[in-house]
Amino acid sequence: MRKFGGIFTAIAVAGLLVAIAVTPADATPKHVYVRTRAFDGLWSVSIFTRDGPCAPSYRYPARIVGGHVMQAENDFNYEINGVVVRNGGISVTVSSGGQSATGYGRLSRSRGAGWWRAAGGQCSGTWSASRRG
Amino acid sequence: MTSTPRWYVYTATALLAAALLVPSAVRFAAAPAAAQSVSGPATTAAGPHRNTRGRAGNAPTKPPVVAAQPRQLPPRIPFTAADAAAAAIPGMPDARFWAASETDFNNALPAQPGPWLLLSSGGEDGAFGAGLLNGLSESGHRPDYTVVTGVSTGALMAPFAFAGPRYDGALRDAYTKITAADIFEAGGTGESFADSWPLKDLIAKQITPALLADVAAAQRSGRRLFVITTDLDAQRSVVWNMGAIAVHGGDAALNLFRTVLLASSAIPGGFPPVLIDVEANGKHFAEMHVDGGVGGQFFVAPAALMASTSDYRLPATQLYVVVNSGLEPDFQVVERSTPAILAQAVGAAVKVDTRLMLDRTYVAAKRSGVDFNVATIPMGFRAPSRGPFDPEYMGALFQAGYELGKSATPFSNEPPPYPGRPALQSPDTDKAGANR
Repeated sequence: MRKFGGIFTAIAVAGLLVAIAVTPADATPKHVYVRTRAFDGLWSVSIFTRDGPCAPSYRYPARIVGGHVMQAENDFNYEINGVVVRNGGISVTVSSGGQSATGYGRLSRSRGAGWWRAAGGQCSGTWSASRRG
Repeated sequence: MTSTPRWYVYTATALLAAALLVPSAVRFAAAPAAAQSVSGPATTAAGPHRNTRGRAGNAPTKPPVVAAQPRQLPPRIPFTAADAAAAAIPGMPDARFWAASETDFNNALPAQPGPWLLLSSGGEDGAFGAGLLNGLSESGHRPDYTVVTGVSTGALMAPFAFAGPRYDGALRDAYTKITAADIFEAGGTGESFADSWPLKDLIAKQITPALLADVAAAQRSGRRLFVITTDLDAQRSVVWNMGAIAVHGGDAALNLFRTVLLASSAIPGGFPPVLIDVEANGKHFAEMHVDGGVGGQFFVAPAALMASTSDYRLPATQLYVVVNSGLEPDFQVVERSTPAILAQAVGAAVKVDTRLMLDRTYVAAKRSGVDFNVATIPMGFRAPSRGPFDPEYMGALFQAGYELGKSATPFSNEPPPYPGRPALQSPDTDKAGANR
């Protein structure tokens, strides 16, 4: 089927997002909800669609500065915003063209992984990340 | 109606569109267009801050203004046209020659005529050629090609094809077990819409010292492996004698071998160009190389020797052209965006170029008394693609190539017929639906 429309978008958007999360099961003491510089640097994020007709995979760069997740390169076509906290929990939303997707997960010193879901729920999947600088 | 994901368009499409060499670019470009007409997720321009609130704790405050800065690229070392004309790879003077050089081409050829395998551009559609070669091995109808040439994706598969059927498994995996994340990273580099460092890493894994040694052994036995890049500074095609490079051995040869493959598939505008260190007149500088498809979708011989006015006879016994792309017009309702228009236009140009090259090659073969053979993606092949380098799509295309390779008639003795007027009833109802 070629009617991927928004879905396609969603994955694309979602792709950018790395997110993490501190899920209820993950309940962490409040003091860890503090941004950290431990993960600052350039990261590469690969996203994989597990459910939904979105693109099977994509890879995006992201930069973490002072615990904020943001675009690695200037590109006005999309926006990445997120935060990393002291225990590595990360949450990121990517927005583009009025659409968005959110991801959650956890970073370690040089790697990370988690899951994502597009706003609207057409697609969801997993992501992995590796530090590149 | 959903909004068009412009950033997606600009990365994926531009990247694939520029894809002279990626006919399927048109297919990807269609996705954003479809997005305009299909309901997508509710889009309330969710504020990113709002979306993160309550998960990782405190909502992020306004991001620091430090963010992304334009990538600063170092200036290039200046050089002259005379320097470019004399440039050579330090320590490997036999590594390459201009594609226009008839003398160098003839000197580089094997001493004895034999079957030539010519592998075209085509991006992910290289899965077709990979499947075809596996099928030919299976049927026992695959000769030891005395010359193998590769352009773009054809260059990536050429070393495996050249080294023989024992690399069929590696070739299959290279086209059926990869995803877009293994090929490129979205985001501008200052020279391109995407970064090909994942492909560079992938090539480093696939082109092993053992493969290099096997290529060197074949070179010593008299066979030849040529890969084509485009020297953007000179606006000329370059033929890399990969066997000669392999014979040099060692890290320098291995690195150059890998670098040439990356350069041959460096879709201009999509992927960054590849700078190759050279030396001329005592001066060291770097040439800028991009996809070999800029100079033609496959390579047989210097253009002057292929001309209809030439009386040159190709020193081959058979020509086997593998076209890793569709040749039929691909209907799309084109989105009103620069990349989408570029994608559809370039896609059309590539098909025209490929057909003209096939026609010219057919004439040259007949003139030379050489058997002409061409394999193309079967007209009836249709598989859904969810995006760039979709493993399921590539797997289906590999299988189609494999079945054709195993068949009694994997090759046609004439170029495929030109398309007639558009059919009144499209066989691709999905596509029609997407455009409603």
